[in-house]
Parts: sequence; C-alpha cells; structure tokens
Amino acid sequence: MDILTVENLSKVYGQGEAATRALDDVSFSIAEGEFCAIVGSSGSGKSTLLHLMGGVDRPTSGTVRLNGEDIYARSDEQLAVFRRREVGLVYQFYNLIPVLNVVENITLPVALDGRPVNRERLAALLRTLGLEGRENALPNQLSGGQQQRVAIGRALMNAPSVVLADEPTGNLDSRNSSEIMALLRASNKEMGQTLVVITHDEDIAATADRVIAIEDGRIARDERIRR
Amino acid sequence: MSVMTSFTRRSLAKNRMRTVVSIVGIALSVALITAIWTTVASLQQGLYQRTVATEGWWQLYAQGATEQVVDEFEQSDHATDIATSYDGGIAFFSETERETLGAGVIVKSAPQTVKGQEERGNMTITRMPTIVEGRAPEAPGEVMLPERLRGAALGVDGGGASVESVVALEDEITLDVCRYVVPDSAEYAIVSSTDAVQQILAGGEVVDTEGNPVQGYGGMLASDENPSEAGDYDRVAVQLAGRERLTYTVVGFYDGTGAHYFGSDFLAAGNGEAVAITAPGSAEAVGAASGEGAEGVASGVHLDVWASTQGFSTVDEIAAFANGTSEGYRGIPVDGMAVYTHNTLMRYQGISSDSLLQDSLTAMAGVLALVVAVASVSLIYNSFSISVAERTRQFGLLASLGASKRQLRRSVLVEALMLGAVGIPCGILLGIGGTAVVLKLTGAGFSAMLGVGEGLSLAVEPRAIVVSVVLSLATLLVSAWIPALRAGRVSAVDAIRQTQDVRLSRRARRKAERAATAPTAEPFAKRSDGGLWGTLAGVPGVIAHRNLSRQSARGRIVVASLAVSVVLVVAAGAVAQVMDPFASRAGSAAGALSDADVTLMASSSDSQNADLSAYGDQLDQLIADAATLDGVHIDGVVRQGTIEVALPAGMISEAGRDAIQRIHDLGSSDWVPEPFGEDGAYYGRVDAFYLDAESFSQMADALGVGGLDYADPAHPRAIALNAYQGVTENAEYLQVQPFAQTGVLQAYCGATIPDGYSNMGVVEGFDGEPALGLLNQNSAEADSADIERIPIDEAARSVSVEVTALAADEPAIANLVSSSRCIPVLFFSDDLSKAAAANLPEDGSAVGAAYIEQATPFTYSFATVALQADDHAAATEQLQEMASDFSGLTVNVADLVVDVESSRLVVQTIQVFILCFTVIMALIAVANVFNTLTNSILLRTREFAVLKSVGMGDRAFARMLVCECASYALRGLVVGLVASVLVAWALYQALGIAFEGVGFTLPWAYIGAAVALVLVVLAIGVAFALRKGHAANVVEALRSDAA
Repeated sequence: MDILTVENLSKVYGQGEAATRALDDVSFSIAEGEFCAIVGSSGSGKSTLLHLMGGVDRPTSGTVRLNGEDIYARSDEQLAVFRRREVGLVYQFYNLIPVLNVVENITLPVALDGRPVNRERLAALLRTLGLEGRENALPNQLSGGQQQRVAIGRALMNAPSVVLADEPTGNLDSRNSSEIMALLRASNKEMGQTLVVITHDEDIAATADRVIAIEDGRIARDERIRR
Repeated sequence: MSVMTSFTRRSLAKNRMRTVVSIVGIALSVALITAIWTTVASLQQGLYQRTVATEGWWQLYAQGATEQVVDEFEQSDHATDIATSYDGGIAFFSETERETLGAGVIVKSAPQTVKGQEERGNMTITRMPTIVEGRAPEAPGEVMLPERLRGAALGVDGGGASVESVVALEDEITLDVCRYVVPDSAEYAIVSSTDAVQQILAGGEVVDTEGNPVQGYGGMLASDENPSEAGDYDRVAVQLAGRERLTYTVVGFYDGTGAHYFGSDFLAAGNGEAVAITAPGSAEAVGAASGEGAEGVASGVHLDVWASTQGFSTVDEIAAFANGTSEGYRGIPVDGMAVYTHNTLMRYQGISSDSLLQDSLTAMAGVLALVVAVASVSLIYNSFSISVAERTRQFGLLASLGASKRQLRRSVLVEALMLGAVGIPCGILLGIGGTAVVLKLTGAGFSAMLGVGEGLSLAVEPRAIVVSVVLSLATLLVSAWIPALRAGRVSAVDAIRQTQDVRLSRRARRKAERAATAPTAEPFAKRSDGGLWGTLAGVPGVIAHRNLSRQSARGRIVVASLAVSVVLVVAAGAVAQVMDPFASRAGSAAGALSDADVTLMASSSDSQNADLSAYGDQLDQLIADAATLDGVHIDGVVRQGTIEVALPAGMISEAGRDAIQRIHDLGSSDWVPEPFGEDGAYYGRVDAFYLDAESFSQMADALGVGGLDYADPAHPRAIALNAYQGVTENAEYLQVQPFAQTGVLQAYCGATIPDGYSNMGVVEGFDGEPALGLLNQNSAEADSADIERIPIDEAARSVSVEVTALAADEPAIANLVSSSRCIPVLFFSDDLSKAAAANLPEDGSAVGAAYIEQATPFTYSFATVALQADDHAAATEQLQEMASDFSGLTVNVADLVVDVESSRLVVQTIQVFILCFTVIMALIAVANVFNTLTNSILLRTREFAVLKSVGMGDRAFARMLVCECASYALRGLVVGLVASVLVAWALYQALGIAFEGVGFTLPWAYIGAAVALVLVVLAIGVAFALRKGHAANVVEALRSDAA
C-alpha cells in the first residue's frame, strides 16, 4: 500500500530569467514501510524533493499525498501540525535548537503539539540512541554524532509514519555513520516506519529497498532492489 | 586593496540592511554632536557680534591711566591691540544749565590706536557714537559734541562752557576745564560724586575727614572683576584743580543717547556728562602739553586705555594683568586708575568668568554630551558585536584558510573605518545643514532675543568639527575594538563546527546541574522551570524563557539599547523642562498674559514730587477720555506704589525669607539694615498694586474672598501675591512662593524726616520693635553708617492691613507691570487709594513728600492702563496726542502687539530647539533599538527555520517572539527608567547651580513617549521577525547550511 504519493511535482525558484526549475514534473509513490534512498548529484533537486515531501516548502505545482491526503491543501498552521505529527526530519547539520537541552530538543515536537511526553518512549529512545546521562546537555556540549542522534530522536519521538533524512551521515565519520544508519534502519524495520534518505553514500544506497536517482529535477532512474 | 579589505567591503554590501542602519546611526550621532557644537558656536558668535557692535571689542579698559601704564601695556606681548584717549578734565555747566544738560562737558580725544589693529570687521576697539551732523574732528582745535547740546545757549549765566549765541556747527565753544590732579592717596578724602560736585558748584567746600578742604569730583568706580556687587565698589576720588581755558571749533554732532555703563563704549567714561570729542592724538588734542608732571603724564590729563589681550584664559588673569599684579613688573597700581574688564564679550570668546548661569549651562551640556556619547557607543558597539557574532563562522573559515588573528582584527577595524568614512561626513553635513535650517527658521526669534540684526548667522567652528570627527572616530574604533578582539580569538574548528555561543551564566548552569540530578522532571513543564513566560504562554513561552535565560548575552544587548533609548527620550524631556522657565519668562514678559494691545503708562511730571496720587484727578480724567475713543476698550488699570510695613514672621514662607535675604545680601551695602528682625518679622517696603475695582473684585471672587469691603481706609484689606520670579545680581534665577499664610500687617505713614537725615524706612529698632531708620548724612562713610532708630509709633502713624488671601498667580492686568518681579507684593482695590486721597488733610501737608511721609500709605507713583484697540497703531497715536494735554502727567504709550510678537518669537525659538533635540534623540534611539533587534533576529533565521520544520506553527512562533520581546521591553524599560531618573536628576542638579526654587519633577509626558517608543519599535521587531520566520524563508535558511 502506498503511503506517500508524489504527483507531477514541480518547484521553481526565482522568477523570469533567473528562474530555476529545481523539480520538474516528478511523480512516484512510496509504499508503507519502504526504505527508499534518493541519490543524485548536487543541485539535482533531491533536497527540494525531500522538503516538499516533508511539508516544509510549498510546490509550484503538483501534489504530495500522505495516506491519500493532499498535504498542501492544509493551511500553514495545519501544515505545522502535520510536520510535528506525521513526519520526522533529519538534516545533515543536525539543526538542533542551541538553547534547548537534549531532552527538550527531542521532545520539542510533542511539546509543540501540546501533548504529554510519553516517558517510557523517551527513556527507550534515549537508551537506543545512547544518550543516557546526557539528558541535560546543551547541543554545543555534544559531539557531532551525538548531536545527530538527538536530531534522530527528535524525528522519531512522535512515532511519525514517515522519516525523511537529508544526508544524515554526510557530516560524520564512518563509525558514527554506520551507527546512525543502523538506528534509522532499526526504526524502519521494527516500527514499520517509512524511511526516505538522501545520500551520496553508495553503501547506504545499496542497503535500501529502492533507489530513486534525480538528475536536473527529473527522475533519472527508479529501481527496486530485490533481496 | 588587500583580500581582507575586499572581503569586508563585500560583506558590508551583502548585509545592506545592517550596513545602512549602522551608517544612519553613526551619521545621527555625529550630526547631533556637530549640531550641538555648531549651535553653540553660532550662538556665541551672534552674541559676540552683538556685543562688539554695541560695546566694541576691548577686553580691558583702564580709566585714569598714565603714559607709563600705556608704555608698559605696549611693551607687553599680552596686549595685542591698544587704543588710547586723553581725558582733559571737565568744564562744569552753570546751575541752570545743569538742570537739563548734566554736570558739564568732559574733553576727550577720540581714541587712537597705538598698537595692533585699528578695526576688526569695521568696528573700532571701543564703540564710537554715530555722527548725526557734520564730521569727526581731524585737527587739534576741532571738537564734536552730543546732539543734545545743539542749539543750547551756553554760558549765559556763568558756567564753564560758553558760546557766542547758541551751539552750532563751525562756531567756537570755549571750555574752562578743571584739570585732574593725581592725588596723593594719603591726602584725599573719599566723597560721593553727586553731593561733592553739587557742593563745589554751589560754591561750597568739601572737607575731608581731617577738615582740610577738598575740591573733589569723583565717584564710585568698580575696579573688581564683578562690578555689580555692591561690596566690591572701590570708591575713588579724583580731585580737580586749576581751571584752564580751551577753545574749539564745533565740527560735528553725534548721537549721545543709548546705554552707556561700566565702560561699555566710548561715552560711558563719565557719569552722564556731555563729552566733547576732539581729534585723536596726543595730550595736545585736549589742550595740554605732554611729557610734564609726575610720572611723565601730561599735567592734569588722564589717559583712557582700551586693550585686547592674548595668552589669558580667565577674566581674573586679565584684571590682574591690568592691575599689574600678575607678574609684578609694574609694582604699585596707579592711584585713581579704574580697570574694567569686558566680561560679556569675554564670555562669548570662551574666556571664563564666574557666571552661575554659564556654569549651569556648561554642566547641563556636559550631562547631555555624556548621554549622547553613551548612546553613540551603545549604538555602534551593538552593531559591531552583532556583525562579528554573525560572521563567527566566516572568521573561522578565514582562519582555517590561513588568515592571521591580526588580519581578522583588522578586517573588523577596516569595517569600522569604512562605515565611518561614509557616516561621519554625512553626519557632519546633516548636523551643519540641520543647524542652518533651524537657525533660519528661528532667525526672527533670535533677533527678538538678542535685540539686533536678522537672527544668527551660521558659524561653522572648525575646532568643533574636528572635535566631532575625533569623538565619533574614537567611538567607532572603541566600539569595533572589543568585537575585533573577539573575532581574532575565534578558533577555526569552533567556528566551523558552528557551535553557537550558548554560554550559561553561573546561575543558569547551577540550575541546569540541579535539573540533571532530577531526571524525572517533565521537559517543558510550564511551572517547574519555564519561568514567567512558560506560565503565561505555554511551550512557546518556555522556549522563549530558554532563549532569554540561556542566551542572556544577546538579550543584554537588546535590553541595554532599549534602556539607552528610554534615557535619550527622557533626557530630551528633562531638557525641555529645564528650558521651560526660560520660555515662560520670555512668554510672560511685557504683558503677554494680558489681552492688551496698547498700554498707557503714567507718572508724575513734577520733578519735585513723584507722587502720582497727587494728580489722581488728572489721571482719572485721562482714563475717562481714553475710553471715549472709537474702537478702544479699557481692559484695566493698575497703579503702583510703595508702602513701608512690618510683616509678622508667620506670614512669610522659608523660601520667601531666603529669597528676600539673598536679594538684600547681593544688592545692599553692609551698613544697610537687615530686612528681617530678630523675631523673623519683615521690616521694609512692599510693592502695592492698586487694581481697578472690576479687576480686583474678579480676583477676590476667584480666590473666594469677594464681598468684603476693600475700600475702607480705616480697615484696609489686601490680597498678597504668592509668586516671585526674579534674577539676582549674580544671575541666579529665583522662583519662590514668598508667603506662608494670610494675616494682618502694619503699614506706616506720616513720618517726618529731620534735616540732615535720609529716610531708611521701617527697620528693626534696638529693642526689637519696628522703628523708623534715619541715616545721618553728615557722618555717612563708605563702609559704615550712623543710623538712628526712632520707635515707629513715635515717628509715624500706623494702620493695620488685613491680607485676606494669597494669590498663586498675578492677575492678567498686573502682568503688564510684572508684579511677580517684585517681592513682597500686595494687591489693593484702587477704590482704597481713591478713598484715602479724599481723606487727606485740607492744607495739603505731607503730600508730595517721600512715601513714608505721606498722609496715607495708599499712594502710588505709576499707573498703567491696559487698552484693547481695533487699530493698535492708530490708538497709540491718538492716546499720545491726548496725553499731551495733561500737564501734571508724563505719559508713555506703548504698542504691545509688537512686543508680544517678539516674546512669542523667543518662546517659539526655544521650542524649535527643544523639538529638534528631541527628534534627533528619538531617531538615535529608534536606530539603536531597531538595529539591535533586527540583527539579533537575522542571526536566528536558521533557528527559526528549524523550529518551523519540526512543526512549530505560526501562532506558537509569534507567541514565542512576543514573549521574548516583552521580556526585553520590561527589562529595558525598568533599567532605562531608573537611568533616566538619574539623568533627569543630574540635569536638575546642574540647573540648581543657577536656578533657585525650581522643583524637581520628572518629564512624565516624555516618559510616556519613551515607553510608547519602546513598544512600537519592539512591535516592529516582532513583525520583522515574523516575516523572516515565514514559511517561504524556511527552506532557504535550512539550505544555507554552509553559510
């Protein structure tokens, strides 16, 4: 069953002569529980695609459907609710809030939703992420790998149906990289979450169920890897 | 251009918003400093030019000097320009001539420049009178006389000056001149001028203390640097002897009118005698041979010397130089020489003198300069520290590429210089241009204030500009230096890792540690540690609280800049408040409070009898006649007199007592009896204002004391004026409420003054009871006096006056005569004075004598009638003509519309200045807060984007920003208001140097404006941040990972 459907998605930045077509009429769908890697050279439009799938940006044309619902039919305020409940975003540069500590950063989407924090889930997450004992540390007191794990914790805290990661290991050494990927894979496998990862790393792409290659804003290749 | 410079230039270009705000801030600060300096320079120049135009540019005037003194002046490098005039003595008029023409004719040669410049900007060193007919004397034997002597028949009944028929051009005048004898100080007595001259001329003899005859002509000459203080008079007697006959041809007449005092101009040398001006030159010009007599002075001839000096910084030094005491090269001062210093001129030349007003203004300017400087530093420093923080990553990158710390530091300093290179010239042009515009707008006001010319011309003082530039540059470099050091310290790794500057304060760290030991704490718990904002605004509030408490350095900058803005606006308000008494004084002068268009002022025309009440019938008739004129309506009449009283101690307030005592101390010689008795009662004069019945009953009704009989001479009633505004002799401004309560006072009249005594009025007797003070004229000496005290009940009749109420303001009609400038003041109904006059003894005795000798205390010497006229110019003319029919009255009709207009202009000028000052201060304040706030928001663009991407909605986002800004606002206002009160207090203290009795109040309207300003700017900040944080920008911020 397809959880995420992208139809005729286009995104143009700028206007007139300076206009750049970052995404050009892209359509595909992703099945529930699928682990999809998006690859492509820089500037191919893959980050734009990820942002549009995550409800962060608005497309120039086309639709993104999650569970059949057009997410961009929502108002800005509802879109914010969508972001905190339905998707988890992980960035290459962690993007933690510098004034919030580990627990606060992780529970931010829950808190913004006005719901109580599920203490058990938080404790389990912290344990899984190896952040026990660092609950009250501020981001600048953490290593890069730890910061990225906090970012993953934040993405997973609400148990979103889709996790979108933009080069989550691009800034990390190989040991941290494999740990981070293992965490993401685990949540994908164990909780049935759909995982979309942008990556340059051939090894990561090789472990995915499906690889979509983007070139010049179009899908150049879309292959399912059978195991 | 080096790489770093080019890098700096590009980053300035890229952050256009911040660059523009910084430049605007720098330009505004420079503009304000330049404007302050330029205004002061223009004002000084205007006042200087006015003084030069009316008094000449001498700094030093020695009257009665010798040629030796002149020689020594000439040899001194300190004296740059010197002019001399020979004073050949005085030819006394006959007794009949003296009644109209003055004491006599002084023969003086026109000033001759003996060293330095003759003219500066078309002005001679001492101002010469304007020639109205003929020409200036050029050859010896020629003379120029004051216009009032033209056509006078001199020498008809004796006297020292004579002409063939009447004084006319080309005719001869013969002057029998009494030469001066430089007296041996041991041998001459000090005499008071008029009395001695009168006696000499009356053929009488003046004897000195040892009984030796003295031919004296002298006066009280001020030799001290502060000629207005009574105690500092040097009484110098100059003897006259040996009449000598001189004959001159009259070649011109000059305008001898105008104010001449303390050597202010050439004519001010004497005591109002006519001055016959001869050709400039040596002693021959005044008919004496030079080189004879003691000390090489022409025999019997005095020298007047005007000089300007260099190398002195205070008036005291200049006076000491003239008196020969500074370097001791001249030894003993010359007997009979009086030295005047030109204090008004030197004040505008920046040579200090001890003027309290000057001190007060300087102190106030100092406080303001400090406020402006702090504001500038805050503005520019904020701009730089934010700019550096923003570029931390860039600096790290540059450092990793091999930029040295020095290069990084220099890049920040170069940035400062680049901003300065644009901002400072803009600011200077803005400041000068702004001042020019303001001076242009207020030109009429200034000419009304200064009394000459077309207002102030712009004076651009190069020194002022240099000071402004240096001050601004120093501010810039200091502001840039600290962030530059920080930039140099940035480690490449830190910067690239982009660990943002979250440095916990000790308190916050301890709190965080405590939280760590209690891991069960609910994150984002509203009450546990979310602060006030968490409680008020939920999760966004908690995040705001985290921002505020964990990024406190950033917050402090915003709070500081808000506080500075509040201080700036409130300081402007405090200045406005300080200027208010000036404005209100200017505004209330000349009857501006009354509606009168024209005033008619009457006094007695009888030189023997100043009592106008003796001519009350004529006055009443004139008023009645005036009322019949077409289009003329009489507003009111106020008659002014003086009453000798004893005022019980309890009626006088402390402030009033202090003011009266102060005025007495400054204005009276030591031997004059004190105004207050042992028991605190006041003995002396009060000024009595008799208002027309209608005006008076209006006043009484308004005070709730109407309906009483105010016209009964047997039981007189009065209302006291409980307001006084005045300036003491040392320029101290007093504003007090002199009365404490109503009560009953004693008024006295009917005293007899024996021959040989003068009247001192009511004084404290030896027994502590009121007495009549009588000064024994025969024993009058300089520093002591023989005053006899006769118990008042024996000497005079008394009547009790009941004061029914205290009036806080002078009524409009009394404003015409500015009753609030007198102390103490009583208001009566003029029905009382009329009734009192009707009861006078039939024989007319005791009428026409001095006030305490009157048959009734309720007499008056002046009257002012306020009139409204449809055509004020025509009414003025008609009234003048009408008044000439009343022989007993001297009447002066004034067209008030013109006067009121000029006071209005003065007020307007002051207000324009306050307005400009306030506007510039407010602009700096806004630039400062806006700069800081927008920058701190720009820095957080990425953070905002993350918050949005994890699902923070617009409303929650707005709530977070509002919480943060509200916290800034609260803290900024609290800190700013506390600092403002301190600044206002400092200004008030500075004001207190010269102004007594001005209460300390805060400028509430401005405080309100400051609060509003803070809120508006913060609202703009929130709006700006919301726009920045809007969805369209989120992706861009997230994408700019590397930036």
